[in-house]
Amino acid sequence: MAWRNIWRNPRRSGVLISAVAAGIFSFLGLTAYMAGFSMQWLDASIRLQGGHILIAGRGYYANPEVRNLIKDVRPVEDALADIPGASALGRLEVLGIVNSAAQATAVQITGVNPLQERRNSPIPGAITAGVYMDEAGEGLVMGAALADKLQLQLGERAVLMVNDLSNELASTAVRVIGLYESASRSLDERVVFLHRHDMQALVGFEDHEVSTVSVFLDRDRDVEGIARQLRAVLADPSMELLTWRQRLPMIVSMESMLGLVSILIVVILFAAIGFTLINSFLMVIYERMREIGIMMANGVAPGQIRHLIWLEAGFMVLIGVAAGSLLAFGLIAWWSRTGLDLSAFAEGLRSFGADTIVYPRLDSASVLLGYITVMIMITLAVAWPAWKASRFRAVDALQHT
Amino acid sequence: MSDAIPLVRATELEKVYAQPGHVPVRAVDNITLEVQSGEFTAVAGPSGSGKTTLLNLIGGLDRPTGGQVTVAGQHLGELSRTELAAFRLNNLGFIFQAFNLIPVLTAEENAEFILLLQGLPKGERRARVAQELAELGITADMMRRRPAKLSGGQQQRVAIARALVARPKLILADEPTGNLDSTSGARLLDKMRDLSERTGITFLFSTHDPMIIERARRLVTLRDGRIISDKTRR
Repeated sequence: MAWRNIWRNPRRSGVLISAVAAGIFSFLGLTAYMAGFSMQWLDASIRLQGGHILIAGRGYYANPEVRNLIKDVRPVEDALADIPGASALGRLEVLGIVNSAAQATAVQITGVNPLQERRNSPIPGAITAGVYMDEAGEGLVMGAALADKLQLQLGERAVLMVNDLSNELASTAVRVIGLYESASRSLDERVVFLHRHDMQALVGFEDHEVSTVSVFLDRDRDVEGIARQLRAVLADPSMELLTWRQRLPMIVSMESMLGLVSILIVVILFAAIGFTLINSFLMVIYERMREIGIMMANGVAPGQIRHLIWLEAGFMVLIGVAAGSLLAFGLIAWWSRTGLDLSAFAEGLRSFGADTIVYPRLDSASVLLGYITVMIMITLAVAWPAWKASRFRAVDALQHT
Repeated sequence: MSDAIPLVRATELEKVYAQPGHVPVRAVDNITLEVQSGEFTAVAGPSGSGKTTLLNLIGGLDRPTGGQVTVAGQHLGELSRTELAAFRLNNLGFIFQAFNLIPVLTAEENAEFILLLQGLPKGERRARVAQELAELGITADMMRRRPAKLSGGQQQRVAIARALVARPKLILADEPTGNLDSTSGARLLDKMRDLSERTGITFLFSTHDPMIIERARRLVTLRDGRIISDKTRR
């Protein structure tokens, strides 16, 4: 009977089923988009800002001077070589000045191992003009935005100035060989990359001396465990080790905020569907008031009236959920391969440090949570009309025309 | 009044509709009435005399503001809404003037409705419904139609079949011929009286239709919510 009741007013039922389908589609789509966006943004932010775990010379976090260095990077690299799913980038990071013929500006000059960078850092893949440095090669890689600011062209020389280990001013002229555009505009404007050997020569570091070792992990959930493991293995008081959650409180806050925004949107979405259901089912019960009266007169109990209304709502929601889910799963599967191109909003996304191509992803926990939310929402939304119908006085319902 | 235990006993029954700012209306005013099993009784009277209200109170569709109703030994005032529904399901049948049937069910399903609620096995349900509908002139083709595809008379016969098929102790019929032409109405009434005589089912009509009044064995006349006459024909 509940099933047949659905088709008494196909237009209204169609609107209701479409609303539920649109709701579940939006929920799944939004959840997948937010999960993909959040994960990519988090991964990009972590990779651009020192990796999942950063190891540095004691005092470096508080005062990033060249003297606060790791004297010998080899034990760290050896320890990491034994940890599956972890890789390391030893870097020399020094604050200095980059000069062009026209301008000068303060930057972070980062000495890198190009081979390691190609495996772990997003910068080699973000080159938009020129090339990234090779294993032996000389040259400077800087953000395209910084090059614009300095009015530097590819192939032109820039002069780098730093304070060396003996606190003397040291400088070198290097040819710009590559320009990059990362997901973070602020990074593009303030970080330049140089071969680690050139940097060591400039600052006066020995071959195995570095400022930091960035540790990159395959899975973010392994961070705490591997950090504990590394602390135990290294046990060197001249080194400090911090996870990204300890180093980047802003990113942690943003991650929580993204989660809250998702929840808020979902609550608003489901509240809208809930009110549509309440409204439709109130109309339904008043339209069928006489019929409900006939049923009551013939011995249908109030609880059975409630079940009838609930069952009818349940069938409609089931159809809507199935339709919305099919559409959402299909589109998400497609977008997860091709990516959702948001380059129209590139400027806004880059200022936020996010990619313009988002690969939505769904996990079963989110889907399950969505379906449970839908079930709770239906139960709550239909509870009032169903209760109201069951509380009709038979005599009043029978007089209704 | 008879010495036998009556099927229906209404004692000093009263129904007053009181709304703030309006003069209270006494739809049923101190009525005491007994109906014996197997009676074919009409409650007649002009519009607003309280006929339908009286039937609603006896059928447990409405609660009295005074007095009490006992049907088949059960004091209806003691029952909760759910218990009342169960009592109606097992003891009472209702026939209303119009719009008696559930639109999404076929004639057969409508007639089967109460038996389904009573939990009878499908085979028994179908057999009883088919027999009852056939006796009331509903063909196999009509049985498969929904109410919208049946005439008013056919719909009313299905409603009667639904009331009868559950073998209730009492059938309450509120203006059952009100929407029928006189030929169809007379035929249905003859059928109901015949069923009453054969099965012993008690019929209580609310009506001002002369056809029902003519056929009733007992005629209770109301005016302004009170019984002004109560005559039994031999």
